[in-house]
Amino acid sequence: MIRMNDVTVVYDNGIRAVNKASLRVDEGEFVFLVGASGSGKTTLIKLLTAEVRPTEGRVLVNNYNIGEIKKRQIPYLRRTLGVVYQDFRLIRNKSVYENVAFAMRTIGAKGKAIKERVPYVLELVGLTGKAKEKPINLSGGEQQRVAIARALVNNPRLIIADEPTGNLDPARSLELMTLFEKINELGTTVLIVTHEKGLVDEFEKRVVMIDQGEVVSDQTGGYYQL
Amino acid sequence: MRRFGYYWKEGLRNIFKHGFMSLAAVLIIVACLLLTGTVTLLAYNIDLSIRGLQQSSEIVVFIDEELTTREARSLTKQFERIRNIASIEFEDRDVALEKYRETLGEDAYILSDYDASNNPLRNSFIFTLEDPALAEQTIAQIEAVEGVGHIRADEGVITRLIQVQRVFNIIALAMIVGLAVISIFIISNTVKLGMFARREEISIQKMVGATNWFIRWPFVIEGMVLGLTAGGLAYLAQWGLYTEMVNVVGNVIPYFTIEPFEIVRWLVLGVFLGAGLLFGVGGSVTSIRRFMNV
Repeated sequence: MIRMNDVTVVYDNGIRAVNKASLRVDEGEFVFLVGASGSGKTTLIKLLTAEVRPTEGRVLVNNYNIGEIKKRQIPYLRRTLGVVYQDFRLIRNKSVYENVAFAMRTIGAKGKAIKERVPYVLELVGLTGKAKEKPINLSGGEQQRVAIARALVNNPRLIIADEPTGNLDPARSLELMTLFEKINELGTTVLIVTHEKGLVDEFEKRVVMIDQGEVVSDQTGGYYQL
Repeated sequence: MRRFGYYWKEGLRNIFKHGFMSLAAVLIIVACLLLTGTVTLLAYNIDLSIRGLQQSSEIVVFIDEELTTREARSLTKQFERIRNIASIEFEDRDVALEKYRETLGEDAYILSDYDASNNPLRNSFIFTLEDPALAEQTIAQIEAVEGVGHIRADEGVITRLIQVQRVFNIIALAMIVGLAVISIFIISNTVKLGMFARREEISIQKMVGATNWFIRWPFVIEGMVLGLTAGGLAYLAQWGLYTEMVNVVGNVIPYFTIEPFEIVRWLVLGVFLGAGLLFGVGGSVTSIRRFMNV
């Protein structure tokens, strides 16, 4: 699933965002990636989606070698991933249904498959009654559920969530984490980037801590250590 | 096929979403095509007229009076050896006198004192040339033939016409290139506007695994439809303008050869649609690139 060996990322401006980091995530795992702001978490996510390439070391994601991947192969790597962002990134003028269906249409899914899959995923995230609503009419938690539905709809092997609860209150954050846990139980690997200690501790999952671009701890059933 | 329908739907949606900009792009391209087309058609007709003039311009060679008609006619073989001569016609001095009488008509009485015994005209040859641009060299070769008395040719006029034709062709070419660049720039900006409005959508498409061509196609179709619409409208406008031009030029400069629109209509339609397509697709493709780096 994810194999990172001694990976370093140095940006053009000389900033070393990731420093000899190694990480292994296997199929079906639920992993929290934690760390303070500027610790290199976002760069690590960008590595997984091939938005940045490693300066040194080797990154394998769903059997794609990020260091050597060709530009035309990147869309096919991304089809094996579902990405959820803190700011939801929904299309404002499309309905909830259309936002989710759009992800399927983008990879060339048939109309029949879209009609079957989208209601199923909306039900999974608890938004069946909101299919026709525009994102602006939804709460933050509901908008993030739409984003999760969109990430799930193409049946990815790995869900990556970058600070998914950053814009939500504690109760909604807990609900959302429970939803991720449910998705994980259905067989999808989940990697959540967060700096919310309370949430991480609540779920007692594997916790990988990153500091100044280095993996400083990796504990299964662990806690967020400050 | 399913995707094709999606691309078309999205492409047409882009056009109507930025209706004013799309209309402006079409009108500017129509203006560019119309200007280019008019200049090119004018250049084409000038070229035709020059060719006509070149072909009809003759070199008349008068033979020395001392040579008899038989001796003069025998020079034909020497003239036939000169390469650039396309046709040779010998005019007997007696035939020339008769023709002159016919030309004078009622005034022919002024030649009543002349007949074969005291004919004041000379035997002559009338030549047309294969390449009028080589007129000077050919005239020099003709002059070298013994028995040639006097030569009448308009090589200066021919040379000047060829120069005018060259200048006009350069102007037409410069206009075609300049207006093509303007058209591509306009289409490119129209498509860029659509892409800018949808940049978030595009970044989401990229994140969920859309290929670059999946994102590009609607914009390429947008540019293509705008370009083809402009090409079609420009054709109709060119038709009207050209027809008017034929009437005006025909009245003002009667000896200027101008082809009727029917002769060039399919060529104009093909070129305008092709240019519209090229400008449209070219404009789209150049504007898309920077939005793809996600």
